[in-house]
Amino acid sequence: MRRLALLGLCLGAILFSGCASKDVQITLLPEEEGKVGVISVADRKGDTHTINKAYEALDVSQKGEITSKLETEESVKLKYAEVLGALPQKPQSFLFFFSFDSAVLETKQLEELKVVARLIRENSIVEIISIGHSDSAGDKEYNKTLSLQRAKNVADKLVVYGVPRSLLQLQYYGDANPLEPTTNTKPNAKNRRVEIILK
Amino acid sequence: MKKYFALGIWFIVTPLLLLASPSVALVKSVQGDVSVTHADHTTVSLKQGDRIFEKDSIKTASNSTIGLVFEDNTLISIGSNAEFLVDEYLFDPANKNVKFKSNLFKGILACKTGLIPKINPDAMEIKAKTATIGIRGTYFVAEAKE
Repeated sequence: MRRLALLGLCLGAILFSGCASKDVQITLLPEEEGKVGVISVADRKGDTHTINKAYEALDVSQKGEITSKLETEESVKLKYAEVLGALPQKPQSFLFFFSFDSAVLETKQLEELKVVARLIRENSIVEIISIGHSDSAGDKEYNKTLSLQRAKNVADKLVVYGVPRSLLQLQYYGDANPLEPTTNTKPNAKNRRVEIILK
Repeated sequence: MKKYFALGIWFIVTPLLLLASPSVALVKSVQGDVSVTHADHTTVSLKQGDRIFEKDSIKTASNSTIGLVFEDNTLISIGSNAEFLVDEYLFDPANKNVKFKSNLFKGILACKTGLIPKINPDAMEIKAKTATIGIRGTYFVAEAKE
């Protein structure tokens, strides 16, 4: 009986809009900076339909027919309010730089770490990655250990400032992932760093 | 104890690899009733801070949403009465080896892409009913109407 009613509804809908009920719609939105990406859908004949403008949408019918249309900012905000509201923020990242051959945080950096610890508590952060790096002066193995020590020191301070240790992960790269790529083995202040990523 | 053991192994064998677990995403927020069915067919309800793995199928009840942060920083939210499968996910940026294939069986999702389509513009794909959607970024909404 219910199925019959559904069929009736669908038939009714066909008269007006071609039974749009099982369609797939994909709508491209502008990013904060106004940038817009590219989305493409191939139909059954292998023809590709592409959208690349803000609020452009592709509609794929159950039969595989593809049509494009233009939504408006208002209609998108209204129709998709729930899911747009649930989209997480991009992970934030912070950099802390170190003196040559040192894993010691300075007083000013400790103050900055206190601010980060507060951010973590207030934004219900679920994962924190502390990533240690070194420059390429000196022995590679020693630099790996040094970069790990830097990552550990930053993580330990966050714990002191009230961050649960269970949220923290350590990574270290030695000199393998420089911020400023160098071809020499000279000390480089930009590469002696820890990056903290808050997710 | 287990954690320290794992750390020790990691030290010796793969100091350059990430310590990250094999999970592919973190649950950043949950509203209402959201569950996941893993590849081994076990189903559990999801809460903030939980992890998502390849082949996980996520289901939301009415008035329920979930927000996910993937390893490559792709952000995805899923609305009410939806079903979404993380079919394949591979993020190995050092070797430019990336893939993200998912399936939206029903419902609505919003997505801001992360590093995967930047590394390989053909690596990200969402299937929704008969449509296979190629994603080259960046911010979009997909709806599989019932």
